[in-house]
Amino acid sequence: MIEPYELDVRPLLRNGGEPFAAIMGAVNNLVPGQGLKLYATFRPEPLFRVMEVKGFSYEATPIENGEWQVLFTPQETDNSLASRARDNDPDNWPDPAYFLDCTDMDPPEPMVQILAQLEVMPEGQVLFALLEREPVFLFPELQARGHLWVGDFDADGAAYRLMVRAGKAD
Amino acid sequence: MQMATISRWTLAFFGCALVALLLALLLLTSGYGYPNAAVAAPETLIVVHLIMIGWLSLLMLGALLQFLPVLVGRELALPRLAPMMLAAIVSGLALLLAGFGGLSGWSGANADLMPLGGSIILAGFVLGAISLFATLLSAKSLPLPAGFVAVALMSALVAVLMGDTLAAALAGLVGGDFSIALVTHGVSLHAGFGLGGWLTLAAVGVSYRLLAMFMIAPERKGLWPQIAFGAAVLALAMLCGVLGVLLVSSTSWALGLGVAGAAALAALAAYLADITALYRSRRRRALELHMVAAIGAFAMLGLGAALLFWAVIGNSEAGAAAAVYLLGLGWLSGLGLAMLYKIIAFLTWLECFAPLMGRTPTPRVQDLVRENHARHWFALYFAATLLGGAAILLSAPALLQGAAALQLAAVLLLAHQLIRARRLADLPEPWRNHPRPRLLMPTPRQRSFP
Repeated sequence: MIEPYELDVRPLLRNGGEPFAAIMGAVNNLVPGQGLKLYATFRPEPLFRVMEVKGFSYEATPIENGEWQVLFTPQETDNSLASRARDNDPDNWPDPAYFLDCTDMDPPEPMVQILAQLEVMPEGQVLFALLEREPVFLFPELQARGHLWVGDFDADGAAYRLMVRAGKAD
Repeated sequence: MQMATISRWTLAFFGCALVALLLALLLLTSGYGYPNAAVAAPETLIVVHLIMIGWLSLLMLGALLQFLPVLVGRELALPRLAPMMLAAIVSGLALLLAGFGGLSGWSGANADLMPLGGSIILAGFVLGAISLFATLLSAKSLPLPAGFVAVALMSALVAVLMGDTLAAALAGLVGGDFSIALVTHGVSLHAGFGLGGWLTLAAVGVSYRLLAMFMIAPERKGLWPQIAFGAAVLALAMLCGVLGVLLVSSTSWALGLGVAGAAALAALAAYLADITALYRSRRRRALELHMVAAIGAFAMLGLGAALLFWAVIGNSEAGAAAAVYLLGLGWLSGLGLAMLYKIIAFLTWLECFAPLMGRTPTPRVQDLVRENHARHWFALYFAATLLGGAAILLSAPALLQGAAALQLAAVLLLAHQLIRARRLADLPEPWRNHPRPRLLMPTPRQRSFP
C-alpha cells in the first residue's frame, strides 16, 4: 500500500489564495494507486465531484477549528466512471495505429475490412478509415462489439472520416 | 450518431406486395378487366387497385420503413405502427375490392363495402404518414431525397382521401352535382396524385439514394435535382389547385391541368437527365444486375410519360391506358422488382453475416443470388411489359393476355429467386449449412453492449 500524498492547502486559503491548481497539480503527480490526503479550512464539496469523475472515492473527516481532512482513494476497477469518461472522449485517444482507405470498395466491403482490422487490434488502439459515405449499417455492429467511434464528413462533404477505438473482445 | 438497423416489418410488407402483384397479373392473364371491360369498369378497378395499393404502395411503404431512417439519419419513429399499417391496408384493400366486386354483380358482395374499405386504407396510410413524418421531423436536416419522400407522403394522403370520397360517390352515399363532377373529373386527379405524386416521387427519392449507395457515386447535388424537385412540387401544387376548383365549383380547370402536366414533364426530364449523370459518375465499373434492370425501368418512365403526353393531347383512351400500364408495370414495378432483388439479398446478408464480419470469411452479398439466371427473368419481364403496352395501344386483348402471362412467369421466377436468397439456397460451399433466417420476420440482433 502506497502512502497517500499529503497536501495542506490551509495556509493558501487563509491567505485568500485559490487552491484548485495546486490540488490538480498534486493529483496529476500521484503514482498509480496512490491516494491524496487533503487538509482544508472547509468541507470542499465541489472537489468531490471533480475527483469522482477522475476515479477517486473520498472520506471527509472534521478536525479541530471547523477544518477538514479528506482522504481521496483511487478506485481499483478499470471500467470506473473515470476511465470510461476518458475513453469516450476522442481527445484522449492515442493516435491511430492503422489507416484504411475504403473509398473505392463496393458495399459492404468497407464494413468487412474495418471489422476484420478491429478484430486483431488490442483494446484501446485506434483505427482511422476513410469512406465514401456514412456507414450507417456498420454502427450497430461497432456498438454490438463494444467499440467506440466518432466520424464526420470532410469539409467538402466528399468523404466520411471514421475513427474507431477498439473495445474489449466479447 | 446515425445508425441503421434492419426494419422488422419490411419483409412482411414485401411479401404481401408480391402476392398482390401475382394476383393482379393472374387476373390480367385471364382476360379480366380492361380492354375486355371499360376503363372505369369495376373489373378494371380491381386490377388497378391490386397493383397500385396492394403491390406498389405496400412495396414503397415497406421500403420507406427501412430506408427513410437511412435517408435522414434517425431511428424510425413509432415503429409499432408498422404492423397496424400493414393490417389496415391489406384488410381495407380486401373490402375495397369486394366492394368493386359488388358493383360488378358478385353475389354476396355489396358496393357499400367500397367506402368502408377506403376508410380503412386511409387509416393505414395515416398511420404510415404519422410514423414516417415523425421520422422526417426528427431529422436535423432534410437531404433532397427525403424532400421527395415528404412531398410524396402528402400526395398519398390526398390520393387516398380522394379515393375514399370517390368510393362513397360510386356507392351512392354522396350525391348531387358534386358527386357527378367528382366521378367525371376527379378520377384522373386521383390517379395523378396516386401514380404521379405518391408512387413516382417516392420512387424518385428512394432511387436517388439507393443508386448512389450501390454504385459508389457522389450524391446528386446542384441544379438538376433542384429543378426536378421544384417542378415536381409545382406540378403537385397545380393539381391541388385543380382539386380546389373542382371542390368549389364542380368544374374542371383546364389551364391548371396543363401547367401541372408541363411541370411534371419537366420534373421527369430533369430526373432522367440527372440519373444518366449519376450512372456516368459512378466509381463502380461493372454494373450489378439490379442496376442494369433499373435502366429498363427508367426507359419505361421516359416512354410512358411521352405516351401519356401524346394520349392527352390526342385525347386517346387506349393511349392513356397503355401509358398508365407502362408507368405502373414498367417504371414503378420494374424499378421495384430491381430494387427488391438487391434489398432482400442485402438485408438477408446483414441479418445472417453481420455478426461474423471480420471474424470468419463471409460471402459477398451477390453470392446470395444468381444473377446469371435472374437477368433472363428481368429481360423477359420488361419485354413482356412492352408487348402488353403495345397490345393495349393496338386494342388486342388476346395479345395483352399473352403478355401478362409472360410477366406473370417472369415475376414468379424472380419471386422464387428472392425466396431462395432468403433461404440461403444459393450460397457457395463453405456457407451451405449456415442457419437459415425466417422468411418474413428478421430476428432482432442481440446486443452485447447497452
